[in-house]
Amino acid sequence: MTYRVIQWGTGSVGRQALREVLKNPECQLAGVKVYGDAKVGKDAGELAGMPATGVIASKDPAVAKGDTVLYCPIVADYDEIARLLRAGANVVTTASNVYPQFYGPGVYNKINDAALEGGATFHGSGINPAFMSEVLPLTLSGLVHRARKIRVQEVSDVNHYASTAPEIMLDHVGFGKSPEEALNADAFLKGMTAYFSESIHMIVDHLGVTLDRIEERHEVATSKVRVVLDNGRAIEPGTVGCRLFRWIAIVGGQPRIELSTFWKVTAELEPQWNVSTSKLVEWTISIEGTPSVRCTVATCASFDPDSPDYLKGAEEAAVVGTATHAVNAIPYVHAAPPGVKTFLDLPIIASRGALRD
Amino acid sequence: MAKRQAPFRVIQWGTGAVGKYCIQRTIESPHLKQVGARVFSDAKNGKDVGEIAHLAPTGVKAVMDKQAVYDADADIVLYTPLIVDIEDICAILASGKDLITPSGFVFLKDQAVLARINGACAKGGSTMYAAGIHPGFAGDRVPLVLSALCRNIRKVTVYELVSMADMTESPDLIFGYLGFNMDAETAAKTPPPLLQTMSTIFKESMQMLAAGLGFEIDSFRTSHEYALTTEDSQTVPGLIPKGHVGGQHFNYEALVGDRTVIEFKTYWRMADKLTPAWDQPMKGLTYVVEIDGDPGVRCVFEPVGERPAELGLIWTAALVMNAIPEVCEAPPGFKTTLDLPLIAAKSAVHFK
Repeated sequence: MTYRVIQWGTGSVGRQALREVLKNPECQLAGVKVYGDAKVGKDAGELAGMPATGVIASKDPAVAKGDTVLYCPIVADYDEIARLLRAGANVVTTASNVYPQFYGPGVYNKINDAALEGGATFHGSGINPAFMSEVLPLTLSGLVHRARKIRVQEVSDVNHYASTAPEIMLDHVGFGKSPEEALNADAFLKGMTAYFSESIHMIVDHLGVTLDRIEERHEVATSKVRVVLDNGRAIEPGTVGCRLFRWIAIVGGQPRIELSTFWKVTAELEPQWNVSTSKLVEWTISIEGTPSVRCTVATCASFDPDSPDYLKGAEEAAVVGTATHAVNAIPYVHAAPPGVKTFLDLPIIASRGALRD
Repeated sequence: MAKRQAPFRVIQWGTGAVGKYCIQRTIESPHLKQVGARVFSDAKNGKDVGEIAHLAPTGVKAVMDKQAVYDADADIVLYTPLIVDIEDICAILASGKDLITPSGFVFLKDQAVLARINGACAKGGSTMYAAGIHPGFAGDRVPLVLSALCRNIRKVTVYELVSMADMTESPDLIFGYLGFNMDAETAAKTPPPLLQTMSTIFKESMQMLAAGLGFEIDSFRTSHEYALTTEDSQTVPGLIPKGHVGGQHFNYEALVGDRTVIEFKTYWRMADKLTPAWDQPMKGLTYVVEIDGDPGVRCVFEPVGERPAELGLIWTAALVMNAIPEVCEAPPGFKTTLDLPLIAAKSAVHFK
């Protein structure tokens, strides 16, 4: 079976998704939506850093019933999504909305009604939040009796991301700023809180418990060294070199779910947080229960010690994983009944890419 | 519309190690209700189900009579006997109860058996599912879930690293049934007792993984290696003298052409110092799932804190218990991990 795919947005994740679509024999690229004038009229292959495809990017690509739109801008435009769904196209997005129920009936009904009207399916995807903060911890929780607490921690070296997206990582997240400045949360950080809150709501709803509230904690550690990014900008000693985000779900007066993320450009920190010096992006999932279980997950180009890519490319692997997860969802979304379908509604989304190359 | 409504009424079929955990969890869960048990000995016949699981009496009596179970009004049977009987399974399903078993059946390629089970399910409007730690989780469900991140997969390798030195099971089981503590000469002429059974159940698991990842396995390869102790080794089941079997490595491979695409590597150790000296460390119980793909993904999971000696059984019981809501709500028929949605600790949550 071949799926017609429209790539919507060609930023960091979108460009990677486009590459995955072009490499995937089950996908046929039918259009590319771009936002910037500079990208209009370009061949999709050029935008993906691959050979020419004959598919030309535009600001308003045609969308047909049965197509799947891989919707990858940073922020979701619900009017646009509703229009696509009403036209009968499935929408798989990496722009949060893994659990649109969190945003209330206004948002949820808007998407769900449009999907039902168009006979299409909407699905939100992602690596963290989403895969690491919902799919995998819920899967692992199957191992425990008397589940008491779920914790997910990410430790990421974000040198590469800080270099390629300084407007996000330096301006909003605050690397290189004073702790006071960085802790003064802006809209981007509020967005992050919303995304991780989606995960928490999905888990508590699935487990059938009532959430009291979500507590949000922000902490920073300063760099002890000067870190020069690939783009030439420097993180000076005494400025923010690591950021810790924590979201804690209180259920029945007790902390029951904790999602935390360490983003660092160095491990030389004050205070000396215990963030691995490895360049790997690593997630640790702990489920307290009888008995408790702990799981660590890492991605990189290769875990084969004989490979030249051994333990390399971890940060890029996380972006590839994000894009791939969305692409791998396409056959499952295509087969699903119309409406909003979250990870809880679909079967396990497995890669169909064994032995692809 | 869900086919059944919670609290689900549970009958325990078999009250051995896994069965006892199931009873304990069923009794304590507000989402479940223990309504019966089938036992295999006169000693347990008529006993209170709670007492069998070392809990307070429940008023529910265990029975040996199968027909009484078929006739009973219940939602689901947790089928955990020592020896599986397909006749019994089909009779349970045909009597209108769902069934979960940790004994094989994670995936069925045998069309005759599948047709029989599906026929019984159709008659009873019931669902069958198999759950367990390995097969059932570490070697199939977890790699399937992780594969979502990969575009291309060259190989999936699953390690099971177990220390059995503190196992409290009887020496007869560890030394007799499992084959530890043989001297080198005996070991050389004794095929591993469990190899046949295990290779059958792991084949099912590999076939499910392959089906989920969208490819067909051409052939399987199985090998086994005994490792001998290099010093006298004291273990809970007893002393293993130097030069006796203190480790076993089972290796199961699924091939496409002449290429190994799935490999399950199981290392069971009674002692740290063995010859050959394996790279894989002596661990309480650790699973490592490695996907060699684009990107590569590596996942390690293990218990936190002191490992209960029966951890493998406890994990298996948890996976059986936690599957109850999804199975009770699934459409009728034989279902695998590929058919059901995500299975979480739904009925085992102590959040309130």
